[in-house]
Amino acid sequence: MSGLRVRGLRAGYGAAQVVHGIDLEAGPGEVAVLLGPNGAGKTTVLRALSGLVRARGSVSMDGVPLLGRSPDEIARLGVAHVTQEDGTFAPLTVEENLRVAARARPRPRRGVSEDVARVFSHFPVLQAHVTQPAGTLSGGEQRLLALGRALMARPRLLLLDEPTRALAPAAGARLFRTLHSINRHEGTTMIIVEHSVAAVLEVAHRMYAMESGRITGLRTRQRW
Amino acid sequence: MLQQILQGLGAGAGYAALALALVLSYRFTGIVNFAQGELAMLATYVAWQFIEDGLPYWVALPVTVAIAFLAGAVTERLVIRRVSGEFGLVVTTIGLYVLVNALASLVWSSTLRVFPGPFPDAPPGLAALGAAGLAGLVLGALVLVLRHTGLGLVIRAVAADQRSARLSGIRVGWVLAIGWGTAASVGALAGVLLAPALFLEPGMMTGVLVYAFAAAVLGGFGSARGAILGGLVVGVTETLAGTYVGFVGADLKIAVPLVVIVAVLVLRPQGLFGAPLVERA
Repeated sequence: MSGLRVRGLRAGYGAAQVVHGIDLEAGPGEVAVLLGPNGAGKTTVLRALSGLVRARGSVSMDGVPLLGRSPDEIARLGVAHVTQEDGTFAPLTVEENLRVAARARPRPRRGVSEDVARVFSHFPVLQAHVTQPAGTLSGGEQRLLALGRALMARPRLLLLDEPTRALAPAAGARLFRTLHSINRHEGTTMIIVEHSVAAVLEVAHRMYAMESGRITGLRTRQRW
Repeated sequence: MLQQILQGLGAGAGYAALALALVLSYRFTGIVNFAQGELAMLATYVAWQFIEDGLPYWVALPVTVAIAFLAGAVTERLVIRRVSGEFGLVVTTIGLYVLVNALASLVWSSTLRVFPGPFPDAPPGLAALGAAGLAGLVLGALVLVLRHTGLGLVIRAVAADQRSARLSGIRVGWVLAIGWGTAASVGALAGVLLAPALFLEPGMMTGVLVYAFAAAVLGGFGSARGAILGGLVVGVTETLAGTYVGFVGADLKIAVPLVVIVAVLVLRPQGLFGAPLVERA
């Protein structure tokens, strides 16, 4: 099966191992959600997939191995990671933030303006601040900009770490509707870390429960 | 007075260039490169050697700037990126300062050497204005590249947040090397512009580094445009104070930038040309 395939992933920080040999997968165009309490290791899994922390095991995207590569190389292979932190370039304007994110694409200069317009159609609030430095946006707007930057890369795999953090409940629900639409129309594979099951029911194809660095349960869409 | 202002602009152009070099390396590594002045001095010796060996000034200058770029980039790749932590980086730049100074003394000795100006046949005021114009042209072009090109956008992104840049697929290592190379090139320009007035010797840039610090602080450390304007203001202020303020004279001129640094840090820490940090938590 192509898409994302993870086998025996172990990762941590220095001597402290946080993720203890997990398996997970997401087929092409599927959305997999990692659920679990704080400290379960969900964020570390995403960091391992995007190369931010060293990891062992086996990870491949459409058959291409990812482990051992640098974060920029993994990004250029089509993996975009929206971290819990803002993930924007504070002194750069909203438009500059979006344009520079296109560097991860195989052809960074082609179709950039069209994709900026596409991001604005998903998140109209960003268009109102197009010439404003990203650091002056509200926390919620910065989350949307970080997601917009990820979309500019035209990723095959989108890693989202608590995408609704800093968003009001209504804005969070709107964001998941947008993600659902992107997934359906563009076929982007996604791994989403989230606390709320209710928030992701609509968009998820499979849900993994994590605790203490291990997968403790799996439900696929047919079973909820 | 006009003559003094022109002379101040000429010196200020050199301070501006070195201040910009400091700002560039600061924005990439988050620390002040204490070796920036010495690297500029070394590049000036290279230019002097080319001219001594018969190369025309206007050929020696760009060749030297290109060599300085490569040297800066190689220094970043071989030394700077292998050092972790701000303290380690600061100590490394101080080590580079001592090493480069000793190397220049070893190769060229401490003898004072005359370095030609870019416009040797022009009257002093016009020559200084020409030097300022040359620096303005190069630094202005650099600011335009940073603000309005794809490469400039990538460089500013890396300077803002290296982790996010990596996650955006940017080859951060190469951009850092380009940043250090650019800083070294701009520093080389500073050395070549200031050497005619200072005489070339291994300690030539020690005092200039203080002026460049003052210029960078005055402009708002981190602001490229601020560093350039700050350099010009410091150059003119220093020249006018040395000439018209009786107790300053030639001996106390070096105190002028120190007064500027303290005054700016106390009264307006973000610098005259920088904006206060407007960033939401």
